[in-house]
Amino acid sequence: MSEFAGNDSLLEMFLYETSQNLEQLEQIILKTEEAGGFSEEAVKEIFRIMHTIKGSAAMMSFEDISKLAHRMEDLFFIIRENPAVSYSSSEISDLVLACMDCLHRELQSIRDGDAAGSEECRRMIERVEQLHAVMKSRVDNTPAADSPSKASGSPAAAQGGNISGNRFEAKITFEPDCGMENIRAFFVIQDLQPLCAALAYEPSELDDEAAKRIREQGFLLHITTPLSRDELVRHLSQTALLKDLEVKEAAQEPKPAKKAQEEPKQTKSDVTTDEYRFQPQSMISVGVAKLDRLLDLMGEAIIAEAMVTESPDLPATPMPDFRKATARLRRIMQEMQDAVMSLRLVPLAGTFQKMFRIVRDMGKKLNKQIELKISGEDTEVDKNVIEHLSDPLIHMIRNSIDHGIESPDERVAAGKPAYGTIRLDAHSAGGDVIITISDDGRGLNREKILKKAKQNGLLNRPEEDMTDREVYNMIFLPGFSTKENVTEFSGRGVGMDVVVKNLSAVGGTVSVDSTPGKGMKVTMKIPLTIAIIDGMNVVVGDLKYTIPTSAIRETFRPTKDQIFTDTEGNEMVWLRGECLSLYRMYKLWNIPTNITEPTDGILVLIEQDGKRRCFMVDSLLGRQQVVVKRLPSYVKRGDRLAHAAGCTLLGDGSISLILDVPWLVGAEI
Amino acid sequence: MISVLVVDDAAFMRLAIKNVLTKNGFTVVGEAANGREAVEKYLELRPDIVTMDITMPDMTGIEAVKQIRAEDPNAKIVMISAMGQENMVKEAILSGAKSFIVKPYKEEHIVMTLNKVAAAT
Amino acid sequence: MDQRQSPFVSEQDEDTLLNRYLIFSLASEEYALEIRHVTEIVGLQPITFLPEMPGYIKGIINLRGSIVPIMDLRLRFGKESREYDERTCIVICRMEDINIGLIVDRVSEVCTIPAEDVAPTPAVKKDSHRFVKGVCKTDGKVKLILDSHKIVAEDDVPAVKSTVAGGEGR
Repeated sequence: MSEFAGNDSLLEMFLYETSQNLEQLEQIILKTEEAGGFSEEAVKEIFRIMHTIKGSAAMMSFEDISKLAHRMEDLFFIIRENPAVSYSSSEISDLVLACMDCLHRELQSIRDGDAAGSEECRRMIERVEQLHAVMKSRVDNTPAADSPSKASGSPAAAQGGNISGNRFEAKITFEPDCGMENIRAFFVIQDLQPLCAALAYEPSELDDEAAKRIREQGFLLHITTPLSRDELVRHLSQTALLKDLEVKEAAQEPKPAKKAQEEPKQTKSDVTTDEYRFQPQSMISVGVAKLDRLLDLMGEAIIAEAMVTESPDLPATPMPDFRKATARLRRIMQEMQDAVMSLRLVPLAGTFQKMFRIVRDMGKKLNKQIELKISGEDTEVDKNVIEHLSDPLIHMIRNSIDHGIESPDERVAAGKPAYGTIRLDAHSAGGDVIITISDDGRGLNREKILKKAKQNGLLNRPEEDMTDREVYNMIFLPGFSTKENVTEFSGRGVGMDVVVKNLSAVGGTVSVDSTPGKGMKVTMKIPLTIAIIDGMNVVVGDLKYTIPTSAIRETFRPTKDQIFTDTEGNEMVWLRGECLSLYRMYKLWNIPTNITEPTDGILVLIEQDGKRRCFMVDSLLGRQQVVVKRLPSYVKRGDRLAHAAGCTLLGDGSISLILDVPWLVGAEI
Repeated sequence: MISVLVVDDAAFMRLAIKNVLTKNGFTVVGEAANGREAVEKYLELRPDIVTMDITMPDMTGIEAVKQIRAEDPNAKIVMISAMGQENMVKEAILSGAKSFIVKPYKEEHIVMTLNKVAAAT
Repeated sequence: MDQRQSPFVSEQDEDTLLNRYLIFSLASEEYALEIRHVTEIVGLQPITFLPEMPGYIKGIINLRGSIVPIMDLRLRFGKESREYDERTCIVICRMEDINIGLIVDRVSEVCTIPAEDVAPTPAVKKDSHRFVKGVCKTDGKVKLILDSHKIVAEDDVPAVKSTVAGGEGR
């Protein structure tokens, strides 16, 4: 009802729970397909989910959503009550999934602030209604089927005339819109029966028709009872949602009417097995915005802590108590930070499970038989990170199905099982989460990739010099796609580079390896959390930069004989028998500074993914935990500031730019 | 103050009902998400009234009504039902439910029904 | 350029803010900027220089924890820069979904300029009035009405490319 519609927390809860329900629904459908048909449990559960959505949506006045859920509920009601009815389970699965997608879109448009209810939704309702009609006709033509609509039995006739007691006529009117007036009347009868010698009522059949009549004309009772009028009135007044009650003494015998004696249809009271059981837990749901706020505050607190403990106002004398106290403070802050971070961690299960649907839909379309096996779905990742994972995963899985897994015939001919297998695994390793996607398809083809790379001008080294791995990883370069014909699924003009782009947005990396004929394996490495990093602050001219300490191998001041220049003018530095490229940061970005000689500054050796480079800075400021903030998009437009992954506020309120490590070791500079 | 146990498998519904009840001076002493939990919570909390959804996993509302009434014949339970569940409401009534509310409900209907049921002897 | 439909101003604000302008000056000219774009006005504060920026972007500031880019409006309009003094202000604006601070010589007032008092700028030659969408004359002084869209537009993109060759291999 509209009185609930304006309530934000209710709306939030509605959106949240309904999407949860839809996800659960998807799981059931996919399990069903695995099992080859709807189990009794599954039918019951789908019915229940639709019922819940129907009720909630009606409360929020989302009529179309409620109606669609209602129609689905009706459909599954038929299946539930008539286990013998014949239907195509794949047809029903498709319908449920389509309906689910439709509901997802409805929820999204509500989230976007658009009006709910769309043409699509109404078409969907029609589709469900059509199937419902077909199913219903099948049931009606099955003589054995016992429909619960027959349940309302006819009341028996009232007993004869010679009954002692006071006779009354009562008229009951219910509150408008209270609903199920016939059942309310039934309730009155049930309640009154034991107190009456005889009882008759109008309308005498308490069916759906009666509800309307009672709503319009009231419910009439002819009562013969030992009770006094007052006692009777008091008793009837206890009826809930009673609007009006008239009781008058009756002059003549009650008209021969029918007596209420109705056995309810025995509905199976069922205990479900635990396969799809919803597990209520002692949990509260908190808006992400609140968690983000908490994280921001945590960041501010860390900065404030540094401002206090490193304040220039502190005397130079040793202050053992103060130092002890600050050490304790730091420890508590550390623990608090861990706790705040852990609040934001969510398991990958939801993201992983979405992939079943992708595999199912694509396998069906491309006529390939594929089994998806997932493991490690309990691995947890920061909420902010997880949002960036879905697209890359979908992309890689589509790629595997489209290009990797062969057709069943081809597979059998190659001595493999007709079923292709894709494995999706996650596990944590230190501060990172490693996600692998592997398949047992045909694998990557070195020659094809090289040919394609050459065509697109992506080859900048002699191909003999490139290892297989290096060749395979070229598929992630912008503008690379191995298949000539763009298919509906993996083509679409975007290449694997979107995977790289998405992952690097959260500081992750991706690589691929393959054995021809045996399959390929994609490894994604994602930081557990991106919001706070351990950084080394350095100075270049007036600028401060922060380098993630995880990427720093060492820092040193070189001697003159360590530095040399090759014939193209590229600077190098010798470090214990290794020759490394040297870049002067002030030169790279035209930063004015007084320190222009490497021997006066400091070199920072940065390493990631086996790539090492040296960068020259003026001096080091120190190591600190910093909160990563995004740079305003206005200053990071185009190629500008490609080397900065973000920025952070230091203890003195100044701003430091966080260097982008993948860029530092990978960019052509 | 009338104490209420709210039973519904949908957290949304529980919140909606709770909002209405709290606003109108009832005390929601507990919530349960299925029939089994409802029975446990009832025995633990002994609320004045239970609002009971019908369709729930693990144990339906009707079964919960039966079990609660078996433990406490004076238990006052109000069913929260949807249109189309007439037969189940009937069964719930025969099992001892005191009244029912039809979703989507009006705020005043809940308040009126619960007050009435609480006052009844 | 119609910007009435800014999603950040509610309808009610829209009415009260309609035709209200912040007046500030650069060199000898007075400019008017629709007040609905203005978030606050702060004094000059330390600006963190950023490399690879066009000259009119002076850098970023830390405004109570949020990072705001700062544009020197004199440089943006191709005027000569001058030493900042105690009257120099930063006008923090939100335009086209972008938060930005504009450095101006001084801020004078907020006033109402009825739409009928605004005259379009004469078409002199292409690009001549690219930041000004209208002129108005009140109290004998001409005020140039700014086109916020053009101020933050990226109309001169590859101003970067100094010594660095983009970030390809990422």
